[in-house]
Amino acid sequence: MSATTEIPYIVAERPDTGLNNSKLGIWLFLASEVMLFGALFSSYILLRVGATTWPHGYEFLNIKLAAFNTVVLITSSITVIKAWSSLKMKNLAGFKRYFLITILLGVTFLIAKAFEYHADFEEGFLPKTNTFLAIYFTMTGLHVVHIIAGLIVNTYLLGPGSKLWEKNPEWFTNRIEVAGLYWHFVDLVWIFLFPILYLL
Amino acid sequence: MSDHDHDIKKHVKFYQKIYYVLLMFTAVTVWISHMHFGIAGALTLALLVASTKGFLVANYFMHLSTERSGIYKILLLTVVLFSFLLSLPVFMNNDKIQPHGHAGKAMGYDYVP
Repeated sequence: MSATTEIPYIVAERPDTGLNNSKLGIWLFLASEVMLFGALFSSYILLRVGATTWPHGYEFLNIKLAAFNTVVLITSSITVIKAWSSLKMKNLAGFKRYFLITILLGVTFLIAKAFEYHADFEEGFLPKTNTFLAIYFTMTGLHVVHIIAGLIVNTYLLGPGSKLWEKNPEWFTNRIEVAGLYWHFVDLVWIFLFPILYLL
Repeated sequence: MSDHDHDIKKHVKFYQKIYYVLLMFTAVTVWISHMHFGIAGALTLALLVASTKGFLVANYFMHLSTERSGIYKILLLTVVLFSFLLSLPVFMNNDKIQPHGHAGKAMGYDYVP
């Protein structure tokens, strides 16, 4: 008796704002994430300014590995764009190739981070060691959680989620765009974390 | 190749150039850390480079430059609140409770009631 009710403006843009629900939703979410990381950056500033002494990042941390991780994340940003562009050109194989590379680069980042944390723990550098390491592990740990969440979503979209391409290619392309926006944000956070924690 | 595909390929080539610029700025950031600019100089330069990289990612990779005004309104509010959040340490640092009396003077504070 009842027809399924479709939620409007998932793909189509609202005539008043020119936005669809997905895009509005992801930007609102990213705005909240800016405040989350902003609170931690603010805490870092307060702790550093209030401390009588503050170590340089290179005294405890592996700059080469972190620089490598920065290159990995920036590269994953361009591959996610290429994946989305492939879908815009109706090239599903191209999308799968570039999206897989994006996921693999994300996994590479996590592996490098795991090596880094392991080396830190072996040296006795723990969050309880000093304030610098406490804020370092907090900020990079939260970033790692975001990477993992992004990888879970991206893996779903590459796997079972890609079936939506057959039913509604425009909707699927939108989902990839939204996932890409989240991934770029995660890259953006690392772009600021790297110099602040490692280099100064 | 259709015009639509041609446009997309043109955009992708541009994004690749932005990617190489980001790599270059990453190298510059590492170089800054090896130079002895002092903490204030190093901090200023590093944040300048990071902000430039952040602008490139947000403006081009996240397509902010072509987004609708609704998104800008959300982000404007975010910028205002984020700026306030980052200013909190400055406000707190300038709002110190100074010890009074001779104890205060002994600690180097000039104020003696």
